[in-house]
Amino acid sequence: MRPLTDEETKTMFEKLSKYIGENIKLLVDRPDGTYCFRLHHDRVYYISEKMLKLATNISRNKLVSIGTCFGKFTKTQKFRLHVTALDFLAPYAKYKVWVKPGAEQSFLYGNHIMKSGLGRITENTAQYQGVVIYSMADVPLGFGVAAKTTQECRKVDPMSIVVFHQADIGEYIRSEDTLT
Amino acid sequence: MKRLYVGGLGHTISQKDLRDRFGKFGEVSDVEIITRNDEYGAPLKTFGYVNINITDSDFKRCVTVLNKSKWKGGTLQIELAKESFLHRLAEERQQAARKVQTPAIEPKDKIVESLKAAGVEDFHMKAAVPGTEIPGHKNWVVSKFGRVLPVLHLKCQGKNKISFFFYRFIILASTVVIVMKKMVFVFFKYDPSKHCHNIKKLDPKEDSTSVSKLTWELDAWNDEISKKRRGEFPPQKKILKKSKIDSVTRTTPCEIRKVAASEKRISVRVTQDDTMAKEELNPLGQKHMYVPLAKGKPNYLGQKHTCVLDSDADSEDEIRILVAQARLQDRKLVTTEDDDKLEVVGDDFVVKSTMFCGGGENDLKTKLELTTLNIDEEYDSADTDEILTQNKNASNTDCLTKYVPVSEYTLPKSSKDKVKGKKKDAKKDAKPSTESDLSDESSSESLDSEYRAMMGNCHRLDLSLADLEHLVQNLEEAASDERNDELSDLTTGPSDLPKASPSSETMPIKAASKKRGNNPEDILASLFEPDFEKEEKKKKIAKLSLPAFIGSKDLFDSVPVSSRSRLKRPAGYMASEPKGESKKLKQDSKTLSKQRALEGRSKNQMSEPLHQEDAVATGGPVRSIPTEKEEKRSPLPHTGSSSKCCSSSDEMESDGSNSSLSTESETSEEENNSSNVVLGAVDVPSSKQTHVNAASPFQQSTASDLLKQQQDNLKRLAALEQRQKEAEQQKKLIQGALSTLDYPNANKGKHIVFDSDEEVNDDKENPTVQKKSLFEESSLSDVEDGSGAQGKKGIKEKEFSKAGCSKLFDSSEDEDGGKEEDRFWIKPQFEGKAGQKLMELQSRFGTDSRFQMDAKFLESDGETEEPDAESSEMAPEQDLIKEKKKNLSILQSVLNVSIQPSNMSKAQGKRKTFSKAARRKKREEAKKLPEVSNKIYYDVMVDLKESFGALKESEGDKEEVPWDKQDDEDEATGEYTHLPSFSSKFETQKDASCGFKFSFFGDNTVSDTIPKTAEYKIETLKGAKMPWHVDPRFQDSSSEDEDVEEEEETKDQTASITTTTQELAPTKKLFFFYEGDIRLKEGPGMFYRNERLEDQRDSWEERRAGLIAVSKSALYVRESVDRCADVTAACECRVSVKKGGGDNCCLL
Repeated sequence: MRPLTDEETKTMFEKLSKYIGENIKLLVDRPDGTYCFRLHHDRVYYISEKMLKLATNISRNKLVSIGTCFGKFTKTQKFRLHVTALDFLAPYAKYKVWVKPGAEQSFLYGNHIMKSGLGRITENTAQYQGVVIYSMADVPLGFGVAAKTTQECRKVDPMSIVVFHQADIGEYIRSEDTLT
Repeated sequence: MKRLYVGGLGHTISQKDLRDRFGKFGEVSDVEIITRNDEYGAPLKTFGYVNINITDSDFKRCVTVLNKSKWKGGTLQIELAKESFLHRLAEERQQAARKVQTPAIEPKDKIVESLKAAGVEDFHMKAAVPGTEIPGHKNWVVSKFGRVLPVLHLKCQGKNKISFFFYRFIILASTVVIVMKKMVFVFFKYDPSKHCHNIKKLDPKEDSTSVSKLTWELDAWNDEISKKRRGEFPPQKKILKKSKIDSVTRTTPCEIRKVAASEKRISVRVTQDDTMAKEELNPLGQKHMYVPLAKGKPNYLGQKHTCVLDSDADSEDEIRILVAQARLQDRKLVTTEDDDKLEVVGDDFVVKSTMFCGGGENDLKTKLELTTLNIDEEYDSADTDEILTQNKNASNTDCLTKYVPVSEYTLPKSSKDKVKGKKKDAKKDAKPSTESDLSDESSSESLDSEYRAMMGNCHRLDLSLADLEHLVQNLEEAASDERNDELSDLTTGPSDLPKASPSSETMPIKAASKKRGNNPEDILASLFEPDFEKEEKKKKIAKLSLPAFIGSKDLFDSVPVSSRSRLKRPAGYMASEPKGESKKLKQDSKTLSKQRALEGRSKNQMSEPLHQEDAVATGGPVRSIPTEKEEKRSPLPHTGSSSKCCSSSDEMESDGSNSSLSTESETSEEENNSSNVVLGAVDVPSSKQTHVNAASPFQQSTASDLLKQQQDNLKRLAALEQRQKEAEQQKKLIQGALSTLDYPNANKGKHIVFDSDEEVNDDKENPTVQKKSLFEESSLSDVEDGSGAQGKKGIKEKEFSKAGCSKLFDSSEDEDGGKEEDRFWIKPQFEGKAGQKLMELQSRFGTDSRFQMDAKFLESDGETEEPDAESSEMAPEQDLIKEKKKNLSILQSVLNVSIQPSNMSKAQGKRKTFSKAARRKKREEAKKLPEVSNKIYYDVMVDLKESFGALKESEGDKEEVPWDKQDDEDEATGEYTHLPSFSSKFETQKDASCGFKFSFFGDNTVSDTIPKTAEYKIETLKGAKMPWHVDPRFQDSSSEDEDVEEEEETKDQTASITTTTQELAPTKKLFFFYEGDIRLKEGPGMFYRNERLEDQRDSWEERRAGLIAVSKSALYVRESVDRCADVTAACECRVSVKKGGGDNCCLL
């Protein structure tokens, strides 16, 4: 477990900023305590200082996870967001997409969101903008990337993909073993 | 006679009516009316059949008259019906009967007749032999089954050319065509009469093998699946390999040959076709089989290899045989291994037992015990309980085994010599073993060797004791026979005595060994010595028991060891004393008075130690050190002295002076006693009891039978021996067990068990109890003697014994080792504060040696703790702060790169300043985008409403925006909403904070800290704020349309709301509402939407009218126009709603 390097931090922040923009600083600079990012087994954990101290008692190879896993660094040193970060990112999300109840399940099974399943979308969403997916009951379901801008979304046919699937809460079940 | 169908009858018509009606036309023979009913029983249709004898003209007339005539509610319909089936049936039967009467004509005849009719004459079917040509047809033949088939002329392609050649030649020759035809057999003529089937006949030689043989050689029979089906599972490969190795290694050539032979047999069975394959296999298999033969046993690896191959190739039977053999071999091996184990482990033991007992049974027993012991011997020091129990059992069993032979020693004298001879051997054997044991002990090995050594010692002791006692008996016998003959006996005795002396010599060695290597004893002594000291001090805590040995205690209690045996649990080397004593006894037996005196003395001595303990208590340990040493030294001289005593007594006796003897014995006894007394109370009772045991019979001996006495003596001696042995063994077991505990202890002072105060206390308590019991037991023995009576103590003793004190540890008192006393002083490493810490550390773990902690731990802990504490407090914080800064800077760069112009040029050196700067930045941003923020602000309201039930996530971003925009206002509201939850105390503070907040824009460095917290509070408290903002009452009724309306309203009102709230904040008195609450104003407004809806409706209608006009102009049908207008109007409305609803959220 170690702090992220500058490079890693940058990569991660770039990724996070796609979803929450400058709100990252609310994660970094929290009023309710000191929180930090730690890299452990290629995964980035968002840990409170308290927990960090506690975790020092555990040897590195024995430590499975601490705090909240935000994502992991791939072998190519790209940052991949995990659904576990949803609870922290959803409140700060800038662009959101609401999914119709019928398409909810499909999304939770890891599929992209079609236009037919799109219930609502934040205005001015750019293409390839990171979005947080909500159900129509405003339950955050996961992360996505807008495949089309909001304007394009109006026009496209119902079977075209409007949001690419990134992560969803179905992964808690589907990839239980890899989500740490 | 005709049968008429009459349909369309009325329901009421009867047969008679019909009969009458049709009677006009002819004679009605029979009338049948059929009524068809529906499911409810109502008649649907009625018709009838009339058998009537009627002429055709009459019938015609009848039909013309009656058909389609109405009669009794029905239109008649008359038709000629078919015959009644009954009638027909009867007729058929009649015909059949007639047919039977007439002879049947054969079909052949019929054919012939038909042929004759056709003009064919003399057609003989049977004459058609296969091959006969049909008369009128050229190429048609009757085939084998009587069919007429054409003869085929097939062109044979292979011989075509040749035929052609022939043909030409024939032409050239210009001979007769017939010749040519004959010559041309180029065409293959297929005569069906000659071939009935095309099946080739099989050579009968091919299936020469009998069926029974075939069944044996079914390939499927040997494949794996079928085997499994039969329930024969192939042995696991691993096992196979192993077993095969063994089998190969073990199988003698003959066996292999056998196997090979069997294989051959199998091969013989194989049919010719299969033999080929088998032979291919066989060489392999045989090769494999013969490989072991060729290679012989030493080549294990190669054999293994081949065997593995075998398993693949060979037949099932072979494999099975091999496996069986292997198993047998394995079993043998295992047993041999066991034997080996036994031999290895219990070398000494087994040898001795065999020598001593000469019995196989005992051998077996001991072996078993040994094996069990050996199996369980390897334990941690923590498992002393288990070891003890096991050893205990072992010792018990050992005792049993040992005492069988002892009892055997009540043999006639003739056997004595033999026994002695055996003994000698035993001793000779024993000595080296003891030496080896000594070496083992000196090297301080594992429990195993130690235990063996102990066992060995015990055995030797037993032997010597037994021998000695035997000798004593003999001597006594001799003495009792005739005192006068004593001289002669004793003179003869010396010859025996020297034999015994070696045994006594072994004892010194043992003693020495104990002194040198057998620390356990010392340790034990040391363990209990301090207890002994503190006994008097802490008698009150007597009932607490030593925690470490609780389990063992119970076990020991359960063990049927008599209290006496406990008493006689002096150390192993003390066994020499009884021996000496027995000799003395023998001498004493002659003089009762002296014995009495001795007893009295011993009594005194007994009482002495009892009292002494109190007196000596303080000084005891100090004294005991030398005494113990003395003790340890003593055995050598002591035994020597005893032997000397023997010899001297012999001499004395030879002198014939009883008095001198007695004095001598007295002195010797005094020696013993003195040593015993000094050592501790335990020895006294032991000596006492020996006195008792030995003396009482002799007292009687003067009066009663000598033989009886002898027997009694023998028994008693045996019992004594047993007890002693038990005592020894127990002690040694304990010592052995404890020694392992203590070795590391003595070396490094890691021992934790007894260092803590509580445990020490426990230790103390236990021994006190034990000691008491001991002394009381001794007193009991006194009572038995009849000299002294201390009944109370006996009772007490019982109590104590009930208390469940560990009886094992009774014996150790005599060895009060002063050496180990210092263990209970505060060890240097435990001194001081650090020492205390270390002790605490150590005491945290049990006695487990694995977790023993050095001073290293302490030091490291102590040293590291403080800096750690500091660093943990300071360093991580700083690190984290640094990290945070770094992260923020990176974030800046990232955001700059990706999105924003760098507003955060001021690098936030501190967290506080940063937050401030961030806020400012936010504010700036908010100023930059005012109109957007307006809308967004409204959205917050909506979204809050939406997200109210689910999560506060959606608030997050939207809340921020207002925060950016209307920082102070929000703060005010936040605080305001915050207020109600708090008591009135905080109002002042809030006022202050509010005031502060307004002054916040002035950059007060002092106020910086507070506003921050206030800010954060606001953020965190937003959830609490929500009910205010988003009252469910307002939410529920609002649809999308209403939202639009609300929007407009709220847009207007937002500013005023915030301002009013700020102003009103301090003055509020009600809990939920306050004077001039906006909600009160705003709320009702939400219930009066009808007006606006009406307005809207008006506008819609106007639009609609316009649209209708448009549509009219477009020449649509009026209705459709209306409909369209509706639709379009709705669409338009929708659009307008969208426009009004703000662009933030697109409804799709």
